Amino acid sequence: MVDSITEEILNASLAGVVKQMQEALFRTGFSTIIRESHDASCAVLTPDGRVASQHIVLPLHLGVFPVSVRAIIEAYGPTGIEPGDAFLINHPYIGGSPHAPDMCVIVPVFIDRNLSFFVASIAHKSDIGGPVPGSCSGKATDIYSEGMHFPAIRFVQNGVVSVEVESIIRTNSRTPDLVMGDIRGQLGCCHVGSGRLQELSAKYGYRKLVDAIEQRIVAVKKIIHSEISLWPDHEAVGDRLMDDDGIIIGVPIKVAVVVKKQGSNLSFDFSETADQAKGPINIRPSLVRAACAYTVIASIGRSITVNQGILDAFDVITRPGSLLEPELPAPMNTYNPTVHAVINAGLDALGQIAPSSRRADGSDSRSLIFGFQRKKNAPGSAISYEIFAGGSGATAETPGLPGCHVNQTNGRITPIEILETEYPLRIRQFSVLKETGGKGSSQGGDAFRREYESLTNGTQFSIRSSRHQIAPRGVSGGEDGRPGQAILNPGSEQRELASREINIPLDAGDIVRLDTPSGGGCGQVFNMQQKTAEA
Amino acid sequence: MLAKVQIAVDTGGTFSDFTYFDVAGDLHSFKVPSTPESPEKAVINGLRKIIESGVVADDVEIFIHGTTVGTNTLLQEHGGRTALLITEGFDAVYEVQEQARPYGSEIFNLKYQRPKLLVDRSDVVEIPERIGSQGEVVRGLDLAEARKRIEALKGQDIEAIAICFLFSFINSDHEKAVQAIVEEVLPGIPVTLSSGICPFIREYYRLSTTVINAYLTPKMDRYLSGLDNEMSGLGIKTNKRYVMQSNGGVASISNTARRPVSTLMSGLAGGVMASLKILEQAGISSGISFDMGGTSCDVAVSEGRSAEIRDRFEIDGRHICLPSVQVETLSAGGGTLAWVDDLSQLHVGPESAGAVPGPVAYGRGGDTPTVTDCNVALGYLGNRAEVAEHLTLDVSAAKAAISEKLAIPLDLDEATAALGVLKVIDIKMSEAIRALATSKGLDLRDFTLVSFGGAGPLHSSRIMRELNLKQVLVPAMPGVTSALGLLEADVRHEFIRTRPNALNDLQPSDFSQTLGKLRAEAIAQLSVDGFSEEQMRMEMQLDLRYQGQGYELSVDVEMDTIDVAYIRKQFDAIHAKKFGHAALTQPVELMAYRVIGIGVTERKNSAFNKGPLNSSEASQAIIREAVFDVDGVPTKFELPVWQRTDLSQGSNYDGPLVIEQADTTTLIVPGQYVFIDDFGNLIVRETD
Repeated sequence: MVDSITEEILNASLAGVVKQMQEALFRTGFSTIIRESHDASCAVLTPDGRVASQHIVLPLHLGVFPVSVRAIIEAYGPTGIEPGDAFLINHPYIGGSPHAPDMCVIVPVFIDRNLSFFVASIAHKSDIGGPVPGSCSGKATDIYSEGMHFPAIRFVQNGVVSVEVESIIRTNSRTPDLVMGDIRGQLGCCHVGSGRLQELSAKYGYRKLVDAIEQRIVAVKKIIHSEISLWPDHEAVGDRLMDDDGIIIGVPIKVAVVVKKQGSNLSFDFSETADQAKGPINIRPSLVRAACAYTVIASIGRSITVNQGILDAFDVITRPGSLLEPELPAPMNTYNPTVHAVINAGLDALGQIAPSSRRADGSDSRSLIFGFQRKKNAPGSAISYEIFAGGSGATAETPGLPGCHVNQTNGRITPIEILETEYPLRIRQFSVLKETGGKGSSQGGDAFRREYESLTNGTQFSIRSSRHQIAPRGVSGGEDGRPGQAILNPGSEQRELASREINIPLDAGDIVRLDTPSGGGCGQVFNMQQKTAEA
Repeated sequence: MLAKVQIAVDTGGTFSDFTYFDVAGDLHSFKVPSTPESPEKAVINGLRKIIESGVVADDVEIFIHGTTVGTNTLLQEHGGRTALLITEGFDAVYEVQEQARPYGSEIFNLKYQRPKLLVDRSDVVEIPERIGSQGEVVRGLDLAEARKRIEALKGQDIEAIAICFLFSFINSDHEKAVQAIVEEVLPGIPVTLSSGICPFIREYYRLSTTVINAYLTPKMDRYLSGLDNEMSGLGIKTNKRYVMQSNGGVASISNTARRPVSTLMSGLAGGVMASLKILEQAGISSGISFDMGGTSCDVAVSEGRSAEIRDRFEIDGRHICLPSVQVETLSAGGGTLAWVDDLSQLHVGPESAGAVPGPVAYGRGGDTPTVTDCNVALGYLGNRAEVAEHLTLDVSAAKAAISEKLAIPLDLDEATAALGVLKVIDIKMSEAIRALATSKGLDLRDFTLVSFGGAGPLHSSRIMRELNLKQVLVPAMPGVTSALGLLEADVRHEFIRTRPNALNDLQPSDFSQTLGKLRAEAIAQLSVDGFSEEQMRMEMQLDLRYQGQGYELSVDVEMDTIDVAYIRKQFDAIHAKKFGHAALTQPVELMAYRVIGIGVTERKNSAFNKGPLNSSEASQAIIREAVFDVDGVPTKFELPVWQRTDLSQGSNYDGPLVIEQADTTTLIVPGQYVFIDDFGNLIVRETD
């Protein structure tokens, strides 16, 4: 037991440790994915794999670490883990990675020869093999088509990186230098964290450090419970549909949740969610828990330490064989639309219990991929990969925003001037589709249009979008947003594209137009005539 | 020419700090209350005070001003009504911005809002035109249509115009042609061109910078021209009237009036430049500038002689892409609040009591204990002269608040609670400095903490211990350090040409041609500013990146030694130093050419060379009772309190002690000692 000042000092220090790990990773990461998109997170865990402290960059990474560390413990046993070891894992079923490119590096920390902590980092890799560059095929029907998977493996022993493991990775990735460079960056940041933990233990005593962590985990759970207690007891149903799984086109897929709130207990039961999908939109329970944590943190609106207490503050039930607890070898590379649906359904149900959770849907996320032939003699191909939001959803107090990410996704837009400088593309239009946001007393965020012209023949175009059929939903009487749309060569010979299509050939002059969805509105539109009539 | 009177004024929220060299070369400093309603008043009041003290207005050779007028106008959204002219079909560039929320807790905020658009949707005018990526005209500018749409702005009370077209950084013809129309149709309204203010690639950041500049222009122009006139009214004749810029250099008042966006970090740049000068003079190469005040703490890390410059920064969620000194602002200051929540958890910050109500000890209605209250209760902070002029510190009120609001709810004694609050705030600042150092790959063990601002020297000795730093340096006049930094600043102009190209495709003549042109522009501008060729210094840089990266690194080059292989090697080396690795096989792209023209001003004296400040009479420290943490136990000490002028050079003084002076208090904890160096700085080190 430590006093509350020591507890605060040590937890502020731990927050500093993970922040420092994060800065080390951002600085030394090799790929632009880490350095610019910041698609990477770092954490300190207890020896039994609970989160002691984490710096949240992407909310989904919250659920990843405990499962991955426990997989290491299970594979090697507590006595099989030695000082100087480092482990690698990216298997969604064995560990907790959302998909294969998200590789976890885990390093044990020994204090007085005892396994005392784990430090870990996860980072998205540019390519880890499989049938398509980037390893995320929208047409995958099993995880064997989604890149190379590592179960819990030791890849550093006595401080030496395994030549065998490195050579397997190098041989199977399209971008071996980037992947190994990033893994080394991850290892480096874990060593930064390990060093700091040894220092803190030496300065304050290991026992105190552990007590401060355990007390704070309990405290965080307590804070969340005390906030939940303020809500009325209630049971509410929420659901969301997704366009389709990308394989069986036009058949919507449902995420359904029953949220029960009683006293300080909160549970999310997803049993009624659809069966596991053929296409790659399945997600594992660790992600479902992280998505639920997102809705809880967002609903309590109070700043809290990020640790295991958040994940332990509520219950999650998923059904084996369903979209949210699929069985091997169900594919999962395109997990974002499903996570959006889980968060939206969760907020839908929570919003019926706690008004602070009431927010209309935003437009989720989508990507456009253009591949070009390189100049003569240059190997490989040039690929432009862009991620887009659309309008965000309104709340009772705030309107939605035009073109703004919601929930767990947060990628920056690529500047037009960079795009046109680097690729044979011209953007013909990038405009706000005004007044398209769902109507309401607070209006949903407007959609935008982005229109591309290919300047060469032989361009390959792929789209991984969502909400072309199912509109972002309004809340509290607000109207729905507008679904998105993608059109090839708008005009007389136009063709409307499905939300997921791959490798459409484009010639010079061919045009692709993307209209993103707009956000849902919140609250009924105040109707003047009606009001007068009532009076 | 021998320098005459040199004056610098740094306008702050509460006080405006003045420093000047008189004709004899003696340095003076004083503070006058700021006048936020009409900021020029405080400046004029101070100048009048200098003249009344006997300085002849005609002898004033240089006037340098650090201003927060632009920053405050932006923060308070009090700028002029601005119309924005953009390429037709591209209004989403402005509204969608980065498309992302800031990293951190905002990701969980369901009600996330961007800062308000400075230009209303209805004041955005789309102009039929389009330039392509090679500077070619993709769609010709429709002059008649442009004129028609601009005429529609007549009679709408538009006070400023921003023009930002795609690819104008490579071909500015359309922007210039439209500017001509605007000047004809709406005479007298200031126009900002994106190709003029920041000719960089990446349309959103350029547009945002252009809009902010236009938005600030009416107010800044009024402020600076008013100040200009009143200075002349005081009989000041020199035209060397400068304003501090975000990049750490100064520019003339007339240039600044057209480029107010370049002053947004003006206030912070003075402190960073001061810290660099102090380190340089003391022969120290690695330093941390640590300026802690009432609500926040500004930190910058430097290695070597020049400030770290960044090309993009944010203020309140708005994006500016102009070179600026790299400063991190933390929410930690004397006014930072401490409280215990309903679950008995202690919180320290980030909320602050601000100037009003302020700390409990100030007796202005504050009832929540602050960091300052803890410093008062523990005996570190006494009635300093400056505080005493305005108020008496109420020690018992501070103690009572700590006892009632912190100690009792936490079931601790009052001293433990107060020490705890200070430990938490010190840890938070230390961790932030650690993260900053790690992000730059620096090992802090050899670093010197240059500590100033009202609260800095009270905390720096503990932060030094936490971070294992080499030493703390408290300059002779810590309360006016930023103003002293202004006094040392040089005129600085940056000229930029953005021309993306694969490095391997370039010939030496491409470099010399472009850099030569930029150099000629720099020389012309510095001549207008009144500098002779001998007083000019040129720095040339190329902005490079690995293909696909989202940012560039600047590589210094010399005009006559340019060759591609050498540049490539330099770039790889800088990249390795900054990021820990280089991608030797990855193609490198040149994005921009840059020439920095510096007009060097002759100095009378160093503003920081105070030498020892001995008073004539030998004096003694007075003794106060204070509490320090000794191995986790609050322990009472007899704390010697010295006046800074009473310390003698050549002696070491062992901690604990405090050193008081007009504008700050320096605390040295047990186990440390302090001495005065050759330049009058206090140096604090660990005893062992």
